[in-house]
Amino acid sequence: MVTIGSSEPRRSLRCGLALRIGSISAMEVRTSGQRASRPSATRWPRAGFVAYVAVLVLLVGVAAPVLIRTIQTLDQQRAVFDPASTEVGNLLTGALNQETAVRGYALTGDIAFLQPFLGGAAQYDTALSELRRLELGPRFSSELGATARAFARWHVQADRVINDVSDGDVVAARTLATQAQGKTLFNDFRGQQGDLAVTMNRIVSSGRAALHGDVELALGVLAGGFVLGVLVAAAMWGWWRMRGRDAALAERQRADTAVLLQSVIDASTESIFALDLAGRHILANRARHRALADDSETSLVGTAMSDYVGPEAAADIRRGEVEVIRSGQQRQDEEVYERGDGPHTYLVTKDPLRDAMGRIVGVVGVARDVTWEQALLADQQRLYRLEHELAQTLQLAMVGNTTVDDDRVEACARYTPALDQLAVGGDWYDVVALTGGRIGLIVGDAVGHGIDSVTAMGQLRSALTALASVGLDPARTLEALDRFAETVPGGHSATCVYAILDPGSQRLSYSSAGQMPPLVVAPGEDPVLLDHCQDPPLAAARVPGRRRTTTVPFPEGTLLLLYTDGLIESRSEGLDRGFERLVATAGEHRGRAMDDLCDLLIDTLRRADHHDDVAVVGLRLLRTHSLTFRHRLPAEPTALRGLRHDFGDWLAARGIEQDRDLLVLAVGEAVANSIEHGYAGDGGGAVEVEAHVDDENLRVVVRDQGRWRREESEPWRGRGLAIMHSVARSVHVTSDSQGTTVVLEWSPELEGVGS
Amino acid sequence: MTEPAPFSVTQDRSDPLATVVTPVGEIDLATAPELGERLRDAVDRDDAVVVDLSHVTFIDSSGFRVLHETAGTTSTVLVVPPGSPVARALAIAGLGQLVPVVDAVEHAKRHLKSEQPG
Repeated sequence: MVTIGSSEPRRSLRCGLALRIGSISAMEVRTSGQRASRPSATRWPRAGFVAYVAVLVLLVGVAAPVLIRTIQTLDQQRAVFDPASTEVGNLLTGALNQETAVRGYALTGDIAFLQPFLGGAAQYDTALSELRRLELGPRFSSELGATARAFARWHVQADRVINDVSDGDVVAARTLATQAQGKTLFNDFRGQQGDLAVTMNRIVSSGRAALHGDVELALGVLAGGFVLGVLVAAAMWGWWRMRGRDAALAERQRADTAVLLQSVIDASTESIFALDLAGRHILANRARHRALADDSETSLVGTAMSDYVGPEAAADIRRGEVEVIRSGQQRQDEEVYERGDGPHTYLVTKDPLRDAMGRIVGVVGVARDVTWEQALLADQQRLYRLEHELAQTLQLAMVGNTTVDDDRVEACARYTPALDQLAVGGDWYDVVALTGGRIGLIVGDAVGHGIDSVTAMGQLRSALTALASVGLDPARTLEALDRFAETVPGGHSATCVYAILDPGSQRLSYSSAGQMPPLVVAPGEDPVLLDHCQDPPLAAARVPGRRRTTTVPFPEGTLLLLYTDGLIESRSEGLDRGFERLVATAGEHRGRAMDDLCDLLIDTLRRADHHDDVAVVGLRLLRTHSLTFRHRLPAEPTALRGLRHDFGDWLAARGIEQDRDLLVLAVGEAVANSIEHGYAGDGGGAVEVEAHVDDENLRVVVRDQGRWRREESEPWRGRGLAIMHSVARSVHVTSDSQGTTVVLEWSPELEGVGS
Repeated sequence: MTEPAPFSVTQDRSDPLATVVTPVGEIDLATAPELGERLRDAVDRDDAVVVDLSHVTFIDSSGFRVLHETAGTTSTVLVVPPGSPVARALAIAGLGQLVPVVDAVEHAKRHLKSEQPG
């Protein structure tokens, strides 16, 4: 994710958007998964609160001592300064009372004045002792001492005045009392007392100033604390507001994203869902809701599959989910959910769901309802099968015919359907008798597979058969077919070879419209592919006269093979290799009966990897005389000579020259035995001789309806049998109530004969 | 088919040493009886018989049978040109080991002279 930052703005924008959605959805998943803690922002208020309390404690810690000191100072002020001020006043008042009383007493001698004197003395003494107790500092004490001493000096004179009055010496007393000296003494005292008062006032005012400082400090601290507290509170309030707004914004974005995500997935017709590790839904779109809960209003979130399907199905589904979580690989499952309108089949693609760290935290899935799809597919397959069966039936019904019953040729035709059962080809063949004893041979292949090519084939085949009956040469016939093929749907580019064999002139004419070259195997020669006359497929060559007919000699014993490409084509080998195999196989087995040869070619040449159908037509022009010699002669000795001559001629026609006289001798012996022993020469009955030659064998069967009589007395009676044994490779004589049968066999080269 | 095969037998008695019997054609079940008859005729008159098979184009076991019968009653020499159809048939039948076979009539007579005791 970090590497996405790109110099290309448009791309980075897009990526950024994707990132945002990605991270938000991841956040949502985390939240939904109940795995994540609260957002980290929630830790801040507690720290702020702690800080705030700490500040408060600090403030109180600073302010408290100041306040305590202020209170103590106030106490001290009350306990010292207030009494001290009073007592300083009292000191003066007591002294004044005494001085006034002394003067009054001296002037009047009235004893009544002694009363205030005593009262004043007591007041003064009390005040003095109180002030001494209060200890207002050394300066105050020294001044207090000086004041007391000044008063004491006055008091000595006052005592004298009183004594003088008491003694009756009023004049002396009066003089003394009014003397300047007396006044001076008292004034000293007053001066001293005034100093004391000043000192005390100074002490009090300095104490008051200290108190003021303390109070100001405390107030300052408290005010500062208050302001700080208010600021902190304001800051915290502001921060809270901000956090709240961010959180609300984030919450709204999250909600927007969730709505966006839900809207997007709801828009899908395929079911989209996400599961947590326990298989419970954490996300599901509308289609998923419909798939599982139909019209129910309840949300899928928090529910697992076991809430909707049977326990076995749920276990199966769960296995798939667990496998995705375990392997981290995508996986597809087919799941069936029961819905209101019956079971629905879903093709569910499951991927691992990962968080931002890449850990697998669940499964995300997309499910497609394939119910109708499958039903449609099954329907299509059924229709396709029906069509295929119809095409196959048509193909087999129309593939071809061999109407030739001509003992001069040995013909056969084979059709093998495509190995791939889904493909029905358009191959066809025909072997038709033409005028003048000629034989028409056709092999064709309509392009494509299926019912269209089969119907095209059927029409082309019918047309060509009809056209062939006109008797035109192959090229003209195919040109006529060209014009017809133009009108046949699917007739274009069909391939076809048409060959006419004239056994009388021993010539073969053919024309090929893009069909495989015919193969000719003449006796004693190598097989030849007739590929000199390869013209374009049908309906591709419309100009008359453009197609060519090639005529080649076709001597007796020659073999012709027409075939479609299915015989030689192969997916793994080239066409050349297919031709090589055809030439080699046909050459090697040229002596086989036509039926056998066609079967052998199809069995051995057709490649398992080639799925086309195959049509093969084979024909051999027999030698003038039939391969089979059949004679039925009367059981008379005179019939022997004719039989021997006929048989000798037949052998000669088969190309058997060597030892022919011995073969005739042996067969003659067998027939003579039948005449002589079976019927005792009485002229009744008949003997059947049947001989057949092929490349493998010459086989002669001599059959009579009599019973051989053994005449062992005559030594030369058994000589005929001995001759047969000498000449033939094997001699079998079987005799029963129906007659006697002698079977003589020779090997191909008749080797050993006459030795 | 039922027509008789063109077959004939001639006898030459000009030589006192032996009668020369010459069959011409094919010897089979149909013609062998006639050959047998002529051979018995010759045996009755003469001591030795020369059977000249040079003009025989075919012979089967019925022919060999009558030849073998003749050889059993008198001295018989067969004249068979080498390589002829009869020579091969003779070899197959094994008659050549029982009856003297020469390749010309003159040789047959010489053979008979050498056999005679006088």
